[in-house]
Amino acid sequence: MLPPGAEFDRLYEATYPRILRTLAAMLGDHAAAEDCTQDAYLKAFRSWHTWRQDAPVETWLHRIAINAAISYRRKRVLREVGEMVRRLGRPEQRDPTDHALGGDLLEELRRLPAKQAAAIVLRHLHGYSNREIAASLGVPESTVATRLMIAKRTLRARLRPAGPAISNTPVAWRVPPIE
Amino acid sequence: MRTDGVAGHDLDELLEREFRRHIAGLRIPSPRADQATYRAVATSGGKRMPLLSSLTAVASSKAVIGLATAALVIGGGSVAATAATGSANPANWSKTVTDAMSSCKSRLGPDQHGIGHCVSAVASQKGQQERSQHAASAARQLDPASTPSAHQTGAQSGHPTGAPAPHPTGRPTDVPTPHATSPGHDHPTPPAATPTPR
Repeated sequence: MLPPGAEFDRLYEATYPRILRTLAAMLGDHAAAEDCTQDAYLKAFRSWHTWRQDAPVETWLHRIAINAAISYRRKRVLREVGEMVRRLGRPEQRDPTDHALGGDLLEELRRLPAKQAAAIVLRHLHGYSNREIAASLGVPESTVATRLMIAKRTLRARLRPAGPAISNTPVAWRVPPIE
Repeated sequence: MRTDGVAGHDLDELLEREFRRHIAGLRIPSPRADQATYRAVATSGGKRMPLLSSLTAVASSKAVIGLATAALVIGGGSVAATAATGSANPANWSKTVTDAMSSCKSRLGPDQHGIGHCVSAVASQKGQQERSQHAASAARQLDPASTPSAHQTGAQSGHPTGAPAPHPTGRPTDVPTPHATSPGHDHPTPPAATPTPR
């Protein structure tokens, strides 16, 4: 059963900015986020009959969109590995127009596993409760709490400024200076 | 941005601030449903259907595998029939089995049932005979002393191809070789002229 056109159009126009921002935060690439968002709405349009009305429609849309982003990230990783292999022995040439959205914190966020990153985005960008995040990701609330905790612990560890190298190095491992 | 670099801020506040700054502030033009992909697909009758097309591709490949498997099974049956009857011709298979059935029925007593084993044994025996004949025929064809077969073709076989010419071709040489002897001569004839030294 397809949704009536006008009804789905209204849903699209009301929810598109929030879905796009979620994916932009997860992917760090505006163009990729737009592509994934369009794919997500296409899938939602086709599988409208699977939406159960006991769940908010936006969380259902978020689930589809996050799955699209996860799929995109997997493909991107494969593509990057292929490019790295082709580039072996040559210096990396970065595209000057290729700049990720956000600073170090968001960069580190995108290095997290996709489902942990999605939980962080839904909580801190949209203010979702654990229950809403659970509905969006299709997991129990306890899983959401665990993912949030692990994700924040990882972010804190990665963003901690590095201390003096000497103080963290065991004495036996220090290399004597060359005279 | 370092978490420890800003005193008094925990990670939650930092995350929210970063999201507000970089993501919530993104300028997104107001979405228009008539430009959305799903509308384009819906109006074009579903031309862009990556998921469906991939599923169709998977189903097609499975169908191909299924057909190939069926062909192998059928082919396997024909191989078995060929092995049992010793002939690649299906008409011979049925003839062999029909002959075997009538032979076995005639051997059955009035209170005996089941001719399966008998038919199988007769068909196998017949097949063995056919295979032996084929093997003997093949051995004759491979024997260098026998007439070269028309089936032996190819440059790498090392054997002459095609049927031999019934008559020698080409002109005979005009000058006989010194060792050639005629029936009435025991010695070769001397050369007709010898150059004289000056």
